[in-house]
Amino acid sequence: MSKMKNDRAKLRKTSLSFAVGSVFRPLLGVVCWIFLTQSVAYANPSEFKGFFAVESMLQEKIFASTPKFRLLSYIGSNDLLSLLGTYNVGPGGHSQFQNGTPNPTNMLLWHLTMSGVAEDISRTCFDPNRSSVKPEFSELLKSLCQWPKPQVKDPAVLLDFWFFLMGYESDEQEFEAWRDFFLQGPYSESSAQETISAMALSVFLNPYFLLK
Amino acid sequence: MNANESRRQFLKLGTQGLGLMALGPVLGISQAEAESEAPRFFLQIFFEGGMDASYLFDSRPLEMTKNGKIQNYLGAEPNVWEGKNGTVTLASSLIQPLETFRNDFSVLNGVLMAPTSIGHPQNINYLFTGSTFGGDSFIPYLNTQARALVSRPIDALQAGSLQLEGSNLGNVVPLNQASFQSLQQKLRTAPPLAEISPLTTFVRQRMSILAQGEGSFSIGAQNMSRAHQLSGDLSELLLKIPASGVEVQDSVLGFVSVALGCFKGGVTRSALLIPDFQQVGALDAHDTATAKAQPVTLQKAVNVIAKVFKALKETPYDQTRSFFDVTTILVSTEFGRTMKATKSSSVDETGTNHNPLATTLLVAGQGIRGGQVIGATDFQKSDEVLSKAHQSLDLDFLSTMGKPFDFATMKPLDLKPEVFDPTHYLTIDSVVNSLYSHFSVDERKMRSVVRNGPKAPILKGLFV
Repeated sequence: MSKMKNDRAKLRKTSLSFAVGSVFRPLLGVVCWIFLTQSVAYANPSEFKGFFAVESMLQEKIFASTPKFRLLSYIGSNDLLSLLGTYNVGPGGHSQFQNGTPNPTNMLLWHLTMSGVAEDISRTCFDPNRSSVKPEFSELLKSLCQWPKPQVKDPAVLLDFWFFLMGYESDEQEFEAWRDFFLQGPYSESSAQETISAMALSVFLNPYFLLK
Repeated sequence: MNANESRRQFLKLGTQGLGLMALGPVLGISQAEAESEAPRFFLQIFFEGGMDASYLFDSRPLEMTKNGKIQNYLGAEPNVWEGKNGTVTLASSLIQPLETFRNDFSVLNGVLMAPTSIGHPQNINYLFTGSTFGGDSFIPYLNTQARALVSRPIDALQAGSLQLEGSNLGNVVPLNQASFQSLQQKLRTAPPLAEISPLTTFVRQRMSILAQGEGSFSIGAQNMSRAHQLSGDLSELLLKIPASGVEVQDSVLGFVSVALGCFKGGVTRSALLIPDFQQVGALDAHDTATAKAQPVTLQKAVNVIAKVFKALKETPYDQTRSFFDVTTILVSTEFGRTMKATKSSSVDETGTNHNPLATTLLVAGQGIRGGQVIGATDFQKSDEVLSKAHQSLDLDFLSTMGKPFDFATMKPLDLKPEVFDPTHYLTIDSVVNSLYSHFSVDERKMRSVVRNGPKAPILKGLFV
């Protein structure tokens, strides 16, 4: 009798675990399928690095330490500065990064601002004193100012230029696409000033440059 | 390609397709298109700090001050303010500048904010998102989720600082008159951005390619790509807005002028004005000195409201309508105030604390049935017996609280419930859902008062 009871208990236990397994395993499978096939839409989207970070990057990469590079001079107004992503301290002392999400307004402003920086870099071809870039960058620009002469269309020269501006921020594919655009596209025979300005601006507007 | 990859690819393409569809009506909206649409705009005036409604439209008789229940540094008996809907309230003399607009706005008394939290950030967040932490602000949805309306490039303009945990505020842009003028000036001297050059095409192509991943950076690149595509059209729209003649010194009117120009010009549909300390003063009157200054502070607040109403009424939208006729206005604050600071405080020397159980809001303008008083608060006399529901939330009897509300008749109920159930009260969730309904926002965005509960009722009688 007790053996029968034990057997029944074992059978119940086995049946129960089988039933649970029958439900649990497919359920686990469905949950895994959902996670595997859904696009990751839950990550916080990357924001702009912000005004001060970009100013600091430009200062460090290409502009001489004196006079200090002022990105504000390209924006035109203090009032627009906060639109480009800055920290705001609230009433409780808690600081929050604001206006970092790309929207049409701050994208417009970034485009205008960085166009100004790019334009100034390109004008060193004709007015070397115009912008106070680092000596090593200035030397590179002297070469590029010979554009579109064949000796300047050297991938190594372009890599140097790209590296000055972008550094290690991006992957190789971005450089290759950028290089090919300028070597083979409409700028291959354009003037030096126009080309250098376009080169700089296309780096500055690359997500790898502006986004965190 | 295995099954998983094909499913991932399908979902990715589907999402991109939806994204492109969303872009469809947004790209290329012209001023003409904006003007041909039935106009519907939104302006919120948000007074941060917690306005004391006892100095506005939810006053208390001097009898209560004499009996030590509520501070009243105005020292005057309030007047009866009767709504066209038959609900009556008491209003202080400070609201006099709004008398002219009596039939243009309605008062909402006894509105519940976050009943479980008394902090500024939590209630500010609750007002805007329906959650004490995180969530999505309702304002962008008036642009992006309004089914009958064409999306504008910017979700809203903002004047003043506001810290929210809300996750959808990326396209709410701080733009006062000075910064707007600077932006227009800059655009006038720049080459036209709307023109598509080979360089622009290349830049956008790189953005699109980098947007095809699935992580944080790729989503950021998606946002950048979308934003860059819209920026050209936005620059055209901004340049067409005429320069304002209002003096920059008046920052409230300056912002209103920019907002109205952007409404008409198709740039945005909504604006959020947060008057700052310079314009109004401190509303968060915990200490006695600040509390004693509330009559002056709240008079300034009322003056700001009246100034904005007047500006909208006097600015024509077209030949037959003013901007007041085409703009729905919400005057708000994150909560009300307690009647005094502590149980033992003397009403002659006391500050006030936060009270999310009774907030007063004003709604005006387009679509609003003005002249009403909707909702009411309890504790209208010193010896009033409060409900157990009230007592459970206010042990020291320092607060007024909204009365239970009948959404069918739009009247407050003189009931004394034993247990607090927020779904029986007029809440900010109903106000927001009413705005959603007015702007034809997707019903799935509507708020519930309690988690997984039914949607908060729409205030049908609020609208014409």
